[in-house]
Amino acid sequence: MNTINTTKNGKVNVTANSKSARPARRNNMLPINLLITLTAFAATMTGWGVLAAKDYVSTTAANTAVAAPAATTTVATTVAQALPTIEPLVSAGTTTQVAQVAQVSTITKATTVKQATIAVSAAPRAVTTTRSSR
Amino acid sequence: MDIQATIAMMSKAINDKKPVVNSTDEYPSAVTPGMLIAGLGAAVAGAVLASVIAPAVLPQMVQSLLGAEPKAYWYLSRASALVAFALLWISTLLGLMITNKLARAWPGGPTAFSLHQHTSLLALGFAIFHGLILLGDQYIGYTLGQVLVPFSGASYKPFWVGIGQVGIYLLAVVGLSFYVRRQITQKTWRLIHFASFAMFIMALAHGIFSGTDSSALPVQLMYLLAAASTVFMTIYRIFVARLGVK
Repeated sequence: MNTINTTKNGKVNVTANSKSARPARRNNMLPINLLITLTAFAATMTGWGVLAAKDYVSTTAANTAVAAPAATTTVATTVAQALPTIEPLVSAGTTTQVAQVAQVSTITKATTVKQATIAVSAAPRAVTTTRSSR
Repeated sequence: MDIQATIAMMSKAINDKKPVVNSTDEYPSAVTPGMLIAGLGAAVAGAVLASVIAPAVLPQMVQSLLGAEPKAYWYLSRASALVAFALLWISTLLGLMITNKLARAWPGGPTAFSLHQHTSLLALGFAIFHGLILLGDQYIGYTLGQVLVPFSGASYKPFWVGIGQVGIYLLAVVGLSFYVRRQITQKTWRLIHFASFAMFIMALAHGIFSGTDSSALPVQLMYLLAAASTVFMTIYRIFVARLGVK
């Protein structure tokens, strides 16, 4: 509160109390800062959940595709049946024959039965252990 | 009427004046309308999170904690990185709004400063968490030394990861400078704050070039918006400085 005093000779003294003259501005930011902090934590946890769910879906799809009996059998059978026939041709080694082998063994990229067997048997493991999200 | 009588009369009038009391003035609301809306919004968001989203993703979250190589660390690192970047973006915008005077229009100078400080420190916390949580991820296999020393991790994009590591150290310097502001000169304070621009660019580059999620559309949109708004605010700030707006 401002104080008004008069002296004996009539002089007026006005003493201003700075606190009452200009009240301190209340700026309580605690609630909004708390809200931001909680939102950030919630966003992180939600992100974890969303990424886990997304990765789960893609990994499951990859595993299903690899583990499908018909597809796996077809690939394995095709490669296994084709390679013994073509292997001698590869050994003979003409450009055309090598190209034919490449067509048959597109998936395995194998040029021998042994390599094809290893490649085919390793394929499901390779897919399941790969992090689809990386 | 002499001066003393006048003063006496004025004093009496002031003292006799009954204060106008109404219920609003006597008991000011502890919760502003804005806070009320924010609180209600948070309650609704929490309810949706608990009843809709959590049941859908909790099994996968639990699954990610199991196994020989739990992936939860990796997911938490990615999620916290995006949150840290969003906080850094908000903090940078608020800092620019303070210097280019836009904060006077909204949300007000003191409020903007408080939010600027809080979001930058929160961004620092989340960025540190983003780095340290990787120690638990056996797939990437970082050691503490590789997490702390920039450019020392060789297993995954060492250059861009290193840029992010340097960015965190810069963020620490800028963020913690709030606490020594009275002990340093204005020139030093401004110089440290200029590092914010380099730090923001580093964080953005780290996110774009080494972030796993930088191919996702929402993340790309965030990066684009962050870069565009920061460039705009910076140009506006330069104009304000040149025009000498007080």
